Amino acid sequence: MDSVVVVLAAFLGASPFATLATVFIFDVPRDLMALTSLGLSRLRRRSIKQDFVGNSNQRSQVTVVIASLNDAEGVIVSLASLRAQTTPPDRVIVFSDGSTDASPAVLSVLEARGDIDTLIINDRRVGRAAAGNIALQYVETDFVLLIDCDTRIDEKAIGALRSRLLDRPAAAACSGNIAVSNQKASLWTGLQQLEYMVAIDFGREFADTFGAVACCSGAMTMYRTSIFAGSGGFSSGSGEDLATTLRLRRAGHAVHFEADAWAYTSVPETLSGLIRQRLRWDRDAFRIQVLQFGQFTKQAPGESLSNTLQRYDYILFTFFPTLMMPLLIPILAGIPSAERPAFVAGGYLFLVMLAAVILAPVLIAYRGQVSFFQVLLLPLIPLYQGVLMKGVRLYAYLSEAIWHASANDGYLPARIRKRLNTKH
Amino acid sequence: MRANSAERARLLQRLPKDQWLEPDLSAPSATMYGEGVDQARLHELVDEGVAEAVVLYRCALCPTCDSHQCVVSEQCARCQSANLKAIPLFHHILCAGIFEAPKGLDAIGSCAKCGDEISAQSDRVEAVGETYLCLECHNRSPEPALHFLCLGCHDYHAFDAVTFHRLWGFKRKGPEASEPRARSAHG
Repeated sequence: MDSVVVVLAAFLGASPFATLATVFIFDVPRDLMALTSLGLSRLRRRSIKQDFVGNSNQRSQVTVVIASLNDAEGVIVSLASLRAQTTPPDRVIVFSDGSTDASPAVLSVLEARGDIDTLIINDRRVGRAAAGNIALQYVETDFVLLIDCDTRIDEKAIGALRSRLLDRPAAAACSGNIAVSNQKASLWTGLQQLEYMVAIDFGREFADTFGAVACCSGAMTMYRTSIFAGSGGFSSGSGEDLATTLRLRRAGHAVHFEADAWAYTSVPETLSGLIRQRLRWDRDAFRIQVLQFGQFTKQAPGESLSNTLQRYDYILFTFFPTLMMPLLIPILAGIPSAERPAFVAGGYLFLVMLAAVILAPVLIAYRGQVSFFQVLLLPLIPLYQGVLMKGVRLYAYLSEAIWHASANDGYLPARIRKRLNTKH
Repeated sequence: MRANSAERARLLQRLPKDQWLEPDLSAPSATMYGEGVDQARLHELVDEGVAEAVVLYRCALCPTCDSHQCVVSEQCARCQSANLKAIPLFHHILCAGIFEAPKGLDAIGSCAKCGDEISAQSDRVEAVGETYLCLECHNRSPEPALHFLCLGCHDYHAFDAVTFHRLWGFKRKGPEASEPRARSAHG
């Protein structure tokens, strides 16, 4: 016990600046906000009617679009969850985007069975954004739900998203809550589930309280067809979900998050897979938020408060803490070498304690399932989020800023990438 | 039951020696080689070595009129009208905009989504298939609904309601026979 006090004292007593910078870099303020959102969101949700069961005799006015590339199995998983909906969709459109395996044949069988209403088989891959926009040509309902092809959605998801958009007639989109379907597959999937719990279940609901949702996730988002199709659908390039959300926001449309609409998605199980995914996400975020949308400056004289909050959410709680990460080096260098191990140990212990304070109520109040495995992972959270993921993000930002690394991202077909990279 | 010798002789007499007896696709299958000419009996002659047979076609049999005049017909999936128009779809790569160009790219001028200039020579625009517009009910679909239409009785049939059969040509055995119109390899 004495040694704990000693290392904590070594960290907290080193310098107020070092303590503050560490706390900031390790996302503590943002996580504390998520904790605060617990109370706010729960209070708010008590006043919302939680009945999402549709009347099966009425048309739901929802079309579901699933884009697939060589993943018929993923489509089958998604279709099974669609069949179980309490508010069934009126129509299901599946777009096979340049699949080279047997999936077009499998999807044709599913269409003949009636599981798919409209099947579009595109021999030449066009990428997710264009695939979604082609499918949009055939949507005739008031709402369109786009889901990833390996995403399984909860039976009340369509009802919950539709209910939210019906409650908010001016809203353009509403994204759903996301949980990790393979969270027990490895250490990395378990850590990602903890991350999703804080960042999505609590973080996005907190942002939604202020109308500041930045990204309607590609995993599951319902759009109001008139606004979405009227604005041309998805934006081009990778990170199309983020770019589309920001474009809709800039056009003055509200976007929302519905915590009771659950989607279960599988995440990378290995460290290398996770790093590859995050490098792509973070490069896209930097390119879209900083270079494309210039989030550092006010967008218009009459910029809405929600758009201002959305910009500052990114700048203060994502962008600056990432750029500040290298500050840890001079901070550590400034500590006498004899005291450095105690400082590092004390700092980490302090962050673990903060993580426990923040995550304990999150684990208690989480609307999804919590396992003992997740509790065991708590001590690793500062290392995972504060060091590993932040380091990956810093590298992604630098690589995008210096040599436009996303230009080589295989998420898009090469010919489309080439055209997009030579557009100016 | 096999044919008796009189019937056999009559059949053999009706078989041409220098050309193939072909089925009449517009007739019911029972009479497509002529009144009173049974296909099974013709095959018996082939088995006996006095006639030859070759597969000429593999055709869909109309379940209504029993003829072989079915053709594939495109229809609107919603109203079953055949009054469909195929309109080319294009993808503007820079903005991921999708647009129809019924009169060609040059008639478009600019992208409705981003305002960028569009021309047929641009490498930033690519064709992404066609959309089928029903001129009766205005339904759009990525592909027309396909059915079989019998040109004899004008009935439409779903794909799984129709069976395919090999149709043969027959002739009396002899060295002077001409080549059939179709080769057996097509059967």
